[in-house]
Amino acid sequence: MQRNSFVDTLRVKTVIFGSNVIVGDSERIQMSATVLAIQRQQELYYGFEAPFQTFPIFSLAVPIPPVTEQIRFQVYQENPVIKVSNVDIIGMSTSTVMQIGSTKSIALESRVHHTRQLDPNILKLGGRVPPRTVAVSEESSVMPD
Amino acid sequence: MELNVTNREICVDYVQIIGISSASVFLIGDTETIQQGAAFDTPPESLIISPYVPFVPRG
Repeated sequence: MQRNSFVDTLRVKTVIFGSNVIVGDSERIQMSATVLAIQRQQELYYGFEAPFQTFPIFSLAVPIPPVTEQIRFQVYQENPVIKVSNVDIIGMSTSTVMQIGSTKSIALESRVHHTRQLDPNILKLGGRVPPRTVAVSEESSVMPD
Repeated sequence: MELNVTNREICVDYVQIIGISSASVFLIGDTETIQQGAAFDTPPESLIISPYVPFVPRG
């Protein structure tokens, strides 16, 4: 016998970057995310500088123990109800899942590479530089200074 | 291995979460298996102090 989940109120403000809110049962949940986060002192987007194969973190194997052990698993449902009155979530991001209900298996993976690029000229000025936004497409040969 | 579980009453009043991120799960229910893996990398060479040039050169 399966357990039922009862939730009176569910409030989620933000669900972004491949995240899921599931109400009801499911069989298999499998999600993955690869993120290249570039932080610059000024908004500058080239649009071509992120081939994932350049960074080892996106190709290295993340060690997840395999499910090998055979377990004799017996559950007696004395009260087959999970009751939650209120759920309040501000944000869900990057391959996350929130489910009210049952599932058989969940497999999640995330790979994040963080990069910071600082301009020595701006550092000299103590960061007091008016913000600017520059977007450079792949075709363009012009580099902003 | 043998595992015997008796599920009795479970009743939660309030769950308050600021954020769920990077391959995480919040489940109100049952599951048989959960596998999660996360890798985060910010090596020394990822701090680049130079004028703004693309940090992955083209071609």
